[in-house]
Amino acid sequence: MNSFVFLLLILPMVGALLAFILGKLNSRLAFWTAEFVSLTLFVLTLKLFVEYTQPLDIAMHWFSLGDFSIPFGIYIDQLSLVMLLIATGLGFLDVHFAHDYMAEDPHQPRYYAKVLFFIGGMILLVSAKDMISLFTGWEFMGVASYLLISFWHEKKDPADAGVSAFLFTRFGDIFLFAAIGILFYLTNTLDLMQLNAMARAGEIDQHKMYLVAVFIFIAAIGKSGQFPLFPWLMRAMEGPTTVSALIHGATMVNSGIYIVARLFDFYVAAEALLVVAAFGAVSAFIGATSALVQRELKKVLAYSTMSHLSLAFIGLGAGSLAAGMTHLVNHAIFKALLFLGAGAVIMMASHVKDMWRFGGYGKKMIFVSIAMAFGALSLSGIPPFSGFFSKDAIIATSLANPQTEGLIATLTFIAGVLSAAYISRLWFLTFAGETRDVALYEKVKAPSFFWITLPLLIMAALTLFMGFFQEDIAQFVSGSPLDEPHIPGLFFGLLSVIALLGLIVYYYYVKRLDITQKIAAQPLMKAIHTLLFNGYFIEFFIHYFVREIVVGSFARAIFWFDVNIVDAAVNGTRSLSLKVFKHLQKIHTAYASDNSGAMLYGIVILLLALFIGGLL
Amino acid sequence: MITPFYILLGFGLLSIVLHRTALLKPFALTAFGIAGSVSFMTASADLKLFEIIVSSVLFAFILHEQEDITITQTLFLGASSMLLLESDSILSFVIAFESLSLISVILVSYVRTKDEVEGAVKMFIASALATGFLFLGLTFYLMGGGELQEALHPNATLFEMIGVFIMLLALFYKLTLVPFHGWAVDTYAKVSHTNAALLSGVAKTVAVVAVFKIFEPFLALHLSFAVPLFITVAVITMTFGNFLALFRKNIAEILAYSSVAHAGYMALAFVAVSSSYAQDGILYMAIAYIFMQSAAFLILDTLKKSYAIVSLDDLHGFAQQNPLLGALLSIQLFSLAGIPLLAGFLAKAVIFYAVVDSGLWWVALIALLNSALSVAYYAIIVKSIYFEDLKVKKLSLSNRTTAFTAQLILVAGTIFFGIFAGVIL
Repeated sequence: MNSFVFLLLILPMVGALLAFILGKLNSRLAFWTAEFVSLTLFVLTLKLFVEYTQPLDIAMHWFSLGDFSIPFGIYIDQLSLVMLLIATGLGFLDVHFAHDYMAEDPHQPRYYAKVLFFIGGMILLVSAKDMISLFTGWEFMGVASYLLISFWHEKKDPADAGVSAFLFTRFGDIFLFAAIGILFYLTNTLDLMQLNAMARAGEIDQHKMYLVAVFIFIAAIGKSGQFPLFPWLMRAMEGPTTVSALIHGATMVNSGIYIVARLFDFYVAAEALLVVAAFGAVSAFIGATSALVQRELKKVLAYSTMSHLSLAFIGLGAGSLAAGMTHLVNHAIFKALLFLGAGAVIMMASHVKDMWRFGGYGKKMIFVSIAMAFGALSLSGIPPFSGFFSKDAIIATSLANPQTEGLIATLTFIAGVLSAAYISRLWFLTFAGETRDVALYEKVKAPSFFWITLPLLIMAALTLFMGFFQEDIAQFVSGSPLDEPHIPGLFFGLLSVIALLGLIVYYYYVKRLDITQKIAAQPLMKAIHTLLFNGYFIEFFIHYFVREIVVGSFARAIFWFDVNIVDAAVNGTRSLSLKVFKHLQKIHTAYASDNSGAMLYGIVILLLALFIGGLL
Repeated sequence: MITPFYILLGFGLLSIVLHRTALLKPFALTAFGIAGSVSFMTASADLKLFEIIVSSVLFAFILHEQEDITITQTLFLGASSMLLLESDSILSFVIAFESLSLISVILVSYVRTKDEVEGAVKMFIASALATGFLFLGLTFYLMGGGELQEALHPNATLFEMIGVFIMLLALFYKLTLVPFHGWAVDTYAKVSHTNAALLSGVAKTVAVVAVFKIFEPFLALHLSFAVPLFITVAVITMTFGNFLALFRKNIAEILAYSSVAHAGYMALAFVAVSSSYAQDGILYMAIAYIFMQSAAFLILDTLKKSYAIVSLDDLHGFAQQNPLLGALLSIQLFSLAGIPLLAGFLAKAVIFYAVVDSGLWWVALIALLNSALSVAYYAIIVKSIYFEDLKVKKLSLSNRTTAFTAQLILVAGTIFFGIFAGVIL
């Protein structure tokens, strides 16, 4: 059993290296290595899943010295196992899909090596027993994400997007690192399970726990693209779509939620869940409203990802681990489906991403449109698709919790129903109606069934199929059922609003597109449109703040200190060293006689040292 | 019983027959492969890992080496190293130690240039002196009632103490501790770089580990004798080595002084002899040092032979010429400087921790400052590799894959023990 787990950790790294080296011989070999390795990983995870009886707990030490030790352990329980299944299963489908999507790229070895490296980081993160291995996996993914977003680094935008992603997530990571330091100082342990146990037993001061919980949550915000650290997620759409699907839809962005879920007892004891729910609600609202007006296919999905991850955060924040994690699982699958479907459309449309140039593509790629419709229905929350159950549970939980029932529940509700609007807008604009760019439309071909459509259909089937097993999933992930507080009328209210929104979108975006454009031309609508389109100008504010305040004043002060004080000291050291060097150099001559003289003096010095040492 | 010593000795004797044939190198490689696996099965637990590492470093060395005669000598050097590591009484220690000195002298006496003559002669004189001191010390020790066939007496008489002191002086020669380092700097910088790699990388490290193994129980009982002696030696040695390396221009000289400075760090393990981590410290340091120092000198050899690079100025812009070799050299230098995630860092961390643990925090502080100082001269080399402009395109005479494989083995050791040392040890 244990050796399988180690294989799970090591195989992606070895695979990455192999894919790179073999890929240099023949670029197709890189794909086959990645396909084989990711399939093996999935099979290994399935094996773990089938044989699962109790949490697997392997304590190891990276490095220990006396009573100070740095742990590096593995812990796989139900929660980790589900995350592992998502990471390896979707990872495999994603690699499979990339066969065609990346077929014409000259740098395939690099691509597959990075993807495998990324999967390895994710596996390390979710099977971590302690903060150190978790942090290592967290940073591995950060690096992999940066490398993959800027995969086409010859162009300016992807390169900038990579840097942006790196900086935004790094900002969060500083807080995670600080949290690890504080935790070690406070509790002398970095073991996640032990932290939970200590928190339950009330052994740590609540105020200090609150600080740590907030610090960790800031890191989670950065990684999961939540308010206010989300702009990188939208820019990350410059990367290959397969990367967006895997990293920015299905796996890496989940790690922020995973870390909160992993330390759920800690958060409960720290009374920090309200913070989680509040930031989640704001992000959910921003994401859902901004997604309404985006032009680019992938940007809609990016904002939708932000909004739905926030829903999972709200689920956790309202106190229901089951609701939050079930939504996370459902979201991972239908979002990967939507992203890959979008990838198929973009690939077939000669890498155009603008939805306004699509339209009527349903006729050319019927299976893709059906698969995406499944994803869209699940995302909108239509029963019996999986998304319905978890979203319903989150809204109900947020309404039932007295702490969140006011503003937070309202924002959650709005974000929840708006998802039906933006996703139906996306689907109608792409697949329904008449085409708006005939030249482009002519070039569109049906995608390959085995490489492109099959993974989509698998995920579409899954998202439908999982709808019937929501109770089991919730039970498995969190150990408690989706304890949905019964709120009369919520079910029908939700459904009718969603249906109504769907109809409105259908009317305005398919039947009467002309009216929509006229409405959009009004000054007030235009202003709102600009605000939403730019994500409430959060990125602008952050840049302004950084440039004017951080760089303008703090950095300048530090620079002055560096030049006038630190450098002066360093230069002083150099001239001092030079003096010592010159004097010492005189001692060392090339003559053997001088050497023996020095030895004689040396023996005298040593005897003297012994004498003094004996006296003391 | 078959020990690595007998295997290497046997292969060494047989290898003379194979000179001038293509079989010699594979033969020697097999010898070290077998020796490593025999160590794995038979060696005592605390030295098993180190013996395997010595075998694998010498394996990499053989991959690099081209001279037939040196390959045979390397086999003998490996044999006497193993003998030294396995020695458990004073007599076997002295015999093994002398055989290691002898083979070292023979190694450098194969001279081709005037510089090499100077280095060889200096080393010969120093070795002769050291042998004299060693036997003088041994005589005193025996006069005091010591036994040859046993380990050092714990309850030493005055004569025994004097004997141990004089023996230690002799060992300071071999370990290149100031003020007995004079020969080392000239020898390491002037003999051929492959020989310098063997002497400063392998022979010295093996000697340190063996000396620690033999003398540690005795010194731990006589702290008022050991601690002041080794504090003086260690502090002077590292400060001296680091300061003199600072403004050198010749890369081999920088490495030679850095080798002296590292001898000072190793002596810290003797300072911390009362701490239970001293044993770990010396082992970490020896493992890290044997990889990085041998690798650095071997790369220097390639640089000299293929690119005619001797001084820092020649090295300017080398990364543009051969980025891979430049990166390998940089990694080893960073490890020597003690940059985290490389073996050198962990070794220093453990050894400094041991010093602090034995209550001498101020010595650890001096060592830390020294270590910070040392970053400067390693960084200067890296700077000239990467951040200077390539002036003249250097001609590359030969590019051998075996030498490159050797470097890969060594760099793998440096990185592996930088990250996973805690898992293994």
